[in-house]
Amino acid sequence: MDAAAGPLVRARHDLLRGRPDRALVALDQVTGAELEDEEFWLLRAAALHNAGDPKAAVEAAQKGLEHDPADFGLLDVLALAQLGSGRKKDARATIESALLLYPESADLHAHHALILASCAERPFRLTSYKKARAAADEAIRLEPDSDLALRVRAKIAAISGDSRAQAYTEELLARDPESESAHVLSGAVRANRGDVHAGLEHFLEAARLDPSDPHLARLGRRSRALQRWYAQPVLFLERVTRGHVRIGWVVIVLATRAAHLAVLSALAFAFWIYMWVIHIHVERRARKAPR
Amino acid sequence: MTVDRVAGLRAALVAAPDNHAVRLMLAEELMSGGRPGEALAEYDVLHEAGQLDEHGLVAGGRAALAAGRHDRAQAFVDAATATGSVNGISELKREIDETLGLQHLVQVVKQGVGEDGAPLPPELELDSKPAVSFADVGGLDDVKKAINRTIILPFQRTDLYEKYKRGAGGGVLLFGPPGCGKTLLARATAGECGLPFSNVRIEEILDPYFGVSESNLHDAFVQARRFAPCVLFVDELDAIAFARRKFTGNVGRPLVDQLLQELDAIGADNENVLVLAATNAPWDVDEAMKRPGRFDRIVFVPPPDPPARERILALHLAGRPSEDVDVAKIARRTPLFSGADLRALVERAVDLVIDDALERGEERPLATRDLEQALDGMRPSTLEWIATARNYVEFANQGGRYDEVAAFLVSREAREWKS
Repeated sequence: MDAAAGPLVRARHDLLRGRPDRALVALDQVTGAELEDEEFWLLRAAALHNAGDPKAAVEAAQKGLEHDPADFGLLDVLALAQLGSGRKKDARATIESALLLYPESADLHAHHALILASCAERPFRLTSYKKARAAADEAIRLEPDSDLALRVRAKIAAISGDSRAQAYTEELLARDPESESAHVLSGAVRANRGDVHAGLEHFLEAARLDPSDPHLARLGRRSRALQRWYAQPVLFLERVTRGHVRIGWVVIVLATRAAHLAVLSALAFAFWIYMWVIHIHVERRARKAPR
Repeated sequence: MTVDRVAGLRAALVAAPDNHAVRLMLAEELMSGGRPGEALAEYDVLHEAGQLDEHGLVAGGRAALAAGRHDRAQAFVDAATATGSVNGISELKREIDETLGLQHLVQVVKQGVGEDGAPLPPELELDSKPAVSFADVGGLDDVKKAINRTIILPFQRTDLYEKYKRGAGGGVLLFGPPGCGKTLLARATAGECGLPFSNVRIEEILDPYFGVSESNLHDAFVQARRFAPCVLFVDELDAIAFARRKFTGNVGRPLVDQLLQELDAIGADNENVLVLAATNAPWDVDEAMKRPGRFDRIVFVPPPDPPARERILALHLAGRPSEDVDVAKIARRTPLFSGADLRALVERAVDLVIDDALERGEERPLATRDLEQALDGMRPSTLEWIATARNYVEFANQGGRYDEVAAFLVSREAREWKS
């Protein structure tokens, strides 16, 4: 049995098994001619992007594109990394140029949909969710069984308030009940539709499925804190814009006071304080792992 | 030793021959006085009376060795091993071997490649590295005891295990933060058992061509079975037996299936093949691997505790010019530091001394203050692992799989750092 794997083989393996950190360690061992290989830059860009360093991923992808400007994977990663670093317009331009080269790629259409959906978010609505939905539908048309395309479609439906969101997320869960991303989406959809308890359960399940993801762990802790009895009266905030309610509540306090409704004003004020206390408590619990 | 004292103890024994405490004192006195033959006679009496604990058995072994009675020394070692004792035995065994003129070596299973590129038949080669034993692993006494009970004894007390129809071999998974001695423990386990040791690393298994990785893995098991009894060590198990659920694409899945087949010994016999594995990320290991019959014994290897850190620091300081280094103080100030972190700490301190020597032209020995200065700003590398482990304990410990980790996380040491 000889030493079979070079660092590129190892890095690809680690990337596929969801360990971009280990892939980066393997890539650090690459020397010589392999540094000129676009596969090295593709793996490096993807690993950096997956490891949560989109700016470095953009640089790596751009270096790789210097060797092969039409590389499918590099264009795809570059667009996603640009999106991750907040450069939405650049991301859109990159993915659309990639689509000109590879119009039949379901993955590219799915990522295009994701980028369009991000551009459609408030406050600078650069495009509409309709275009994002159309791109997701195109991805599904090209590859009806694509997990990525189905997930993107469900995500767009969830963030845009589409009434089909629940059906889409249920479809995702039926395909893979152990998909943490499906549980997160399902939780968000349920919470937005008023079924906050079920939403929190989905968030907890997502955290259970992948506690190594710090975002999911935080979501899980937050959900657990919100399930406590003392947080029940403010659960309704989970389906509305919470910050707006807490600030808007001051108007109620002031209005009742101006109307000389002392008792009502005192109750409104007490509830306002209570909301803030719970908010601060829950956020602290979510940030900090219990000891 | 004074002759009077020995004479006094002998007189006391004449008066009360069953006073085992006095006999033990006499044996120790004789041994320290350079009369191992007479000491051995006393140890033999105590042993026959069943009055020697594990330390006494090791002391008896040393007396026998010093008296040139290797057969008796081996008998004491066997008796101490049977008690489940860990400390001191391997050193004694090594001394016996050395005295007999045998260089104790780790056996490593190796397979070369012929000129035409075809693999040559596997051969058992002797590695030039001296054997590693538990004595070379600082601290981790609980882990050593667990390994001794579950792994080493079945190989050493085959009679007992055969009587109860309990076969040796099987799979043991060591997990814990990086740099805390999992690989060293695996080698030491092989050293303690005196078995050939075959190290399977992901780099040696992975191949870009379809089906070759699985074939490489199969070959590793074939070799191990050929040289059974032997220890097959799979380093970074999570890289080979990754959770299939997390894998994107289908290319890597056959590798996990292959490992499952090898562990289940489909079409083969894994009797007397001890499969040891180590991983930093047990949560990334496919669930199927942890079922009974595969890696059914899972052992947590925590970061070293203060006494272990003292030993590790002393090990790294040995041979370097140093002056009254308060190792215990540094050990107290380095909670959660891994063995690798401690090595880095010593090296940083040495760099400070060298800088000093270059600046002032004065080559002074390493002192406690250098280590303290080097410690400033250093954080244990285990913190990230602990943060992740905390999340798993909190959200994914329904089956109690991470109970040992949970117990460690509530320890004072683990709470010293905010991870």
